[in-house]
Amino acid sequence: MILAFFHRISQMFFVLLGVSVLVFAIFFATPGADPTARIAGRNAAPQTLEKIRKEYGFDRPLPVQYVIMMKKLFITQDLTSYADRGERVVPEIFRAAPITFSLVGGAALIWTVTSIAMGLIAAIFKDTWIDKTLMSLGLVGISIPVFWLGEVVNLITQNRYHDTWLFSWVPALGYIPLSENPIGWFKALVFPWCVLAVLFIGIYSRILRADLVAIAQEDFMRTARAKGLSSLRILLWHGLRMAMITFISLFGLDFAQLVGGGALLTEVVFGLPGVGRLTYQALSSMDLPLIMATVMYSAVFVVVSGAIVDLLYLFLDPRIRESHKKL
Amino acid sequence: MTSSPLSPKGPWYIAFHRLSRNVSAMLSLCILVLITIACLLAPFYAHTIAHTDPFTSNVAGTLILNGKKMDIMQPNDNPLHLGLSPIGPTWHSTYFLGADSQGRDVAARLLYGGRNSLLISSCAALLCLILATFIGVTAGFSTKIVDTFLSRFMDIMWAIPVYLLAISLSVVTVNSGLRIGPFVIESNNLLIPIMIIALVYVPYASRPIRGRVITLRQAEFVTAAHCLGIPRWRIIVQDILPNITITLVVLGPLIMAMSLLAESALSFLSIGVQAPAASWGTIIQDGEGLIYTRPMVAIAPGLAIVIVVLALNTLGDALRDALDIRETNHTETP
Repeated sequence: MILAFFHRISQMFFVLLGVSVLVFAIFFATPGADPTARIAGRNAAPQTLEKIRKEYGFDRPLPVQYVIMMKKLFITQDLTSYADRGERVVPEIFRAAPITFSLVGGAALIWTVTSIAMGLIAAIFKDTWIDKTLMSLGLVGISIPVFWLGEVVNLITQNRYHDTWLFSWVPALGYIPLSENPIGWFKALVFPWCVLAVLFIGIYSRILRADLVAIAQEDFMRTARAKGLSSLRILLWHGLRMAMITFISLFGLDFAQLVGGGALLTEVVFGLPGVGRLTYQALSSMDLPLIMATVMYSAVFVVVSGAIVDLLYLFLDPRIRESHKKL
Repeated sequence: MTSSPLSPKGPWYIAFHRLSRNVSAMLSLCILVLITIACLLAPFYAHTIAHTDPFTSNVAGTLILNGKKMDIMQPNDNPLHLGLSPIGPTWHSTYFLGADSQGRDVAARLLYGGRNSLLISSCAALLCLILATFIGVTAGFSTKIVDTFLSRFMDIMWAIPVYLLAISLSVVTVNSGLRIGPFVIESNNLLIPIMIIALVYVPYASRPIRGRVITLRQAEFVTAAHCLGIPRWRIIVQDILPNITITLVVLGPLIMAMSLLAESALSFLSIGVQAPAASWGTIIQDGEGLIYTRPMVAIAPGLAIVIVVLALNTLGDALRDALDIRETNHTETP
């Protein structure tokens, strides 16, 4: 158990190291993409280029640049933006993170409840029109580009039907902090939550249904039926519990990816100043340190929370503990 | 389905038979073929039916509708008639879906954009599968060290959210293109989004392929081939590759669907297909500024994306059922 714990932790650090090298390499070592030229702008004089190269340290060997960059990012946390000189990047990310967290948290609640309900109902009414309708709806949800759905929702709630009783309560696009106005916070986030949740409702309800249907063939389900339990009880108590294993590990991964900036498109469309929109703004000004920092932040978040989920399993599920012993 | 024992049917025949009886799959296939043909006919539509050039700005232009001459840029509907907005859908041959903010025909751009979107997503899916097969087969069929190295590398790529990885790669190539030795790829070349999207989804595709290869490696016919002294590369070509085609066929449409969504997202963020070329994503981006006045500019390409992606997903699901693979990509393969 302790061995497995350390194994997982060391693996986590290895992946973190790899991620940091990969992200650094993408931004500073892609062939033909010279960061100096990007800072200097088009058609800059060679002297300017030389000056910038010295000032930012691009004339040093890449491994040295990598170490300096990582030190600035993680240890001293004083990496500054190229676009707004002097603006520190790390605090900016931490200011944006709670907003992303509000968005993703609410969406996660919606998609969990809805997809469990949809998956269960579809599994109960397997192969009937109810099942087929729900699963087709799920497929539609997977197929909609989230930014486009956001635009259409904005069109309806902010413009075309904003003056009707139905949507007159929707505030203008943007974020209202929870500490200032909890009701306003809720109102501002209802539609972003729903839009972000649509894709995941589609994915999760389809996976849950498939798992429930597969589990129904298992021996322990037959035993439960033989004991004379009602079919609903078997499905909820024995089937759903098993199916939740896949569900929870997927949930951990998706939640972490979204908090890490995967919700970028939703944030951009709804004007929520979270981590994703920070990345988007850095995109338009080509602010490499900021983009690199947000990508790194998201990868760290994904890797660490993945490790936490795995460790939780180690404590919760005796079978996984056993399989590690054999390693 | 029962087949007579005297005439055994091949697995591909059975799969094709099952697929052809699946109504939604056949419908999806028809829709995909129709949309592809429509997009291929884009130049014909633009020149012969709509009589417009969808790539040049036409702000000062006029069009003739029901015998009346109209400006493409029309005064706004507000009481003071301040500002101009492009003409809405005419539902006639010219400017069928209206004009965008530069006075270009949206319907014609939609067809041209569809060409790029479909080209990028299908090439990206193909390239992704080739790379993933290479990595999956190498990882699954070589020594433990190579396997560990490749799998860890895939883990590292997997740790970065797909869209963020694609955005990062696009950002560094969007201005200056890519320079590998003597080869220079300009930033407006479609190869760049194709390569980026293909790369980003490689971990997703290589994982099930590697799992399949590991299962095959322990199969008796592979052991037999080993015993006969057949070289490894021939075992891979003759025994392994034909047996993973099922996995590839199932993954193909699903990856193409994801590539199409990724391409539209990148183009929407204006780091995908570069102007003046169009794709469905760039048209949605053009329409974003007009969303409240002329919503059709953004709605039409979005609907096109939804229809194509839905058809691809349906087809992928049907293929999975027909070829009877009960694997989800999310479950960890050993």
